[in-house]
Amino acid sequence: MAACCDRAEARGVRVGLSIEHAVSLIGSRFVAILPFTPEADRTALAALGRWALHFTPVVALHPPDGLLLDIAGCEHLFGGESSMLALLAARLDRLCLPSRIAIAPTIGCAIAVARYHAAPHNNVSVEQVAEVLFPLPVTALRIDDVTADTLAEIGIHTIGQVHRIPRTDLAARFGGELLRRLDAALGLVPEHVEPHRPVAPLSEFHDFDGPVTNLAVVEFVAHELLTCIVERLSAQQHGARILEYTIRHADRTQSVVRQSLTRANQNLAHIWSVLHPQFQRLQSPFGVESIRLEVVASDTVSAHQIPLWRDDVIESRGDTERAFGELIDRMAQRFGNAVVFAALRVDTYVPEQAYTTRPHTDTQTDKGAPNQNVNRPSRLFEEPEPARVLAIVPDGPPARVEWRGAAFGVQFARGPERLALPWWSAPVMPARDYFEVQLTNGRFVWLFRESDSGRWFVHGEWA
Amino acid sequence: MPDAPNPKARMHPSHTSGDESAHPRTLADTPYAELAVTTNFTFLRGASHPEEYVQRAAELGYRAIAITDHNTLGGVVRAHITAKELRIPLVVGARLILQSRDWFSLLVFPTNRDAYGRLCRLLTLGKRRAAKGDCLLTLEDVVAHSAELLVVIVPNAALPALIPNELGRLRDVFDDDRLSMAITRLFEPDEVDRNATLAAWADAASIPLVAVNDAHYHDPSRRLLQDVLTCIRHGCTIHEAGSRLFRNGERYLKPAAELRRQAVRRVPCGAASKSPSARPDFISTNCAMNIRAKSVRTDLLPCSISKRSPGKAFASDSPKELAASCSIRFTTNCA
Repeated sequence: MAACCDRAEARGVRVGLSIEHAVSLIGSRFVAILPFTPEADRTALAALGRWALHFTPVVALHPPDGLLLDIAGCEHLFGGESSMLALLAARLDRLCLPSRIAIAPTIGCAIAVARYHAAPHNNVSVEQVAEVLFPLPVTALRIDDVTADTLAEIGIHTIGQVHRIPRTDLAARFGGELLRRLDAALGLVPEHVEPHRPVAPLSEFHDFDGPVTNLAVVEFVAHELLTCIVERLSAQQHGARILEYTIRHADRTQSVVRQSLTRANQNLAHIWSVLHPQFQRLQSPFGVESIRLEVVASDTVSAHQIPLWRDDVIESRGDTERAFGELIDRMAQRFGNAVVFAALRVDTYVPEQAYTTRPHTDTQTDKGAPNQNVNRPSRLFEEPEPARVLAIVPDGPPARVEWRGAAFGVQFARGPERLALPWWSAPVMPARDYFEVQLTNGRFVWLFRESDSGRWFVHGEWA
Repeated sequence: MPDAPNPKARMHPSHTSGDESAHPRTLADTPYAELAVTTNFTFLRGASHPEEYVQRAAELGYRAIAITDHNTLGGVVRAHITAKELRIPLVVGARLILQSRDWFSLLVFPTNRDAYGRLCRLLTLGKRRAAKGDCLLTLEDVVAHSAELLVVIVPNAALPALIPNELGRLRDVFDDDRLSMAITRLFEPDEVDRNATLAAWADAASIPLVAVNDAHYHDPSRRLLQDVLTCIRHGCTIHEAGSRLFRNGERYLKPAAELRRQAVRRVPCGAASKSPSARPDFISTNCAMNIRAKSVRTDLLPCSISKRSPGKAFASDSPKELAASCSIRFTTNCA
């Protein structure tokens, strides 16, 4: 149970009870039980935050259910603090939202009073801060549960009691956080509101006067929309990663043209060059009514000069990165997304499982890059290839290798690196002794010996 | 904690001429004592009890067995009880993990009762500074408490480039008579080259080498348990653990002959030797001597010292004298 109404609370229902317990306390069949959706709550809070921009340009969210409004300089627009408070309360009431509001000189004080003071609506002046704050419980200071529990154990329940403890003792026993919160609430140290800035989705829209059957026109408009979007993205130093055209046809159907890019890109010519073929495949027997372009995902790109000619010298690292992304986009467009993929390292000792693949447009990167200083062959064979090897038993390096029907001497061998393979997954593979070996014909191969059978395999090769 | 025990009151089995069947001469020929032993008193790292190590060491005919838990002497008591029963010399010690020195840890072995007391005080100092279960020690603290301690540097996997300087400094601090450097043969990648580099650096700083196997369990079958402990330590499942586990299951008490074979063949003393020959000469008398040198170092450890020459040989703080008395003891014991 995450929340309940006042009437339920009057019957003894408390947050944290099980549903069955709560229902039995109410003793009625007429109980509305709704699922708890923190994500939706957050979205609703953000919407309320946007609504609150009526009152002040600086609005911050205070999850799960609070809003922080910095009204400094705005209150006179609403006839002073008190009338602004009344207005806010009335507006929220009209939205059927029960509210607790406090206007106070400090953020800490406002939060403490709004959440813990007996009266729902308060206006605290500068002189009243200490007086109002001291009877409130310590949890009003936004401290963690551990500190609150520790304080409760030694019989400290209100902010006033905390304030009476010498500051040095407080810092020594509870760390700086408690002291910092107390000072912030009393206005001794400054605290700022982190404003919530709603981001408008980047999209462009064009409505044709009537159904357009000439696809060249549709293509032209699509290009125009893309031009607008790229300009807007460039102004924000952003590049598009996923673009989506929604094309409405006269017969009420719609088609979607979606393009993912390997790297965030703001090069109009390039984006159009990968999008263009998709438009050529577009069919609209009844004509197109409207077209809408939306940036589904974007990313920051460093500002760069747009080259005048395509074959200008590529200089900075950012340029190389961009050129690389464009190359991959073009390859994916020519050969299909299925054949162009990226490799991702996996943290394991088993060479066969040490990497996996991901789509080239996926931004997921290696985490922590394990096994960094280990030399692994550039080409790992799908299946280890059996070889006949002459070596000193039990763990000496190879001296002569017969592999793929030919015999080689060994010029250089390094190892062994012994890998004991996972014992937790069946079938359990025997341990392997890996050697890096240079054969007399100059090839570098990765050989291993299975510990129990003593058989040799070639597992990879340095190209 | 009581004074260090004295299992040497009776001769070690390998020194008696009688019972040849239990301890064949071949084992006695390859004196080995494992100096890096992590027991389950190093929480979530060691996977065997101290008793199990001691028992296995006795079975394998080790000259001695050390117990070196991370920043603690906790495992020593139970090891001592078993060691006394089995009449195998126990080397009391600890492995110190130091702050801001992450390329190595130190194995420290007190040589007498006073040094043992100092080591205990050092550990208390470190533990008082840190939260429970942790220990916060710096190299300076160790130096301040290091009189009559034998110190072995155990280099970690990652070796920064400035090691030669650091080694020189360590040698100045601890004096070469008390300092040695551990070389492992755990079948890690590039271990041969790494050991060659380490040996060359140690040689340049004239620090003798000792072979250790960094035991984390007494029997290879305990690798499973050790892997699981590692997972618990990192709070992950065994499928996610990946490179946080050990690469292989070599960190157990191996037969001395096996270790000797690996060490003599592979610890690349070729690089450490003065010869400028480019061909790495794996077989070197240097190495064998180093293994023997280690047995010197274990023979003089507290158990044997306290009774035979009660405090006398070590009345002086001079490490030179200490070393001199050690080598004498070595000749009288083993010659």
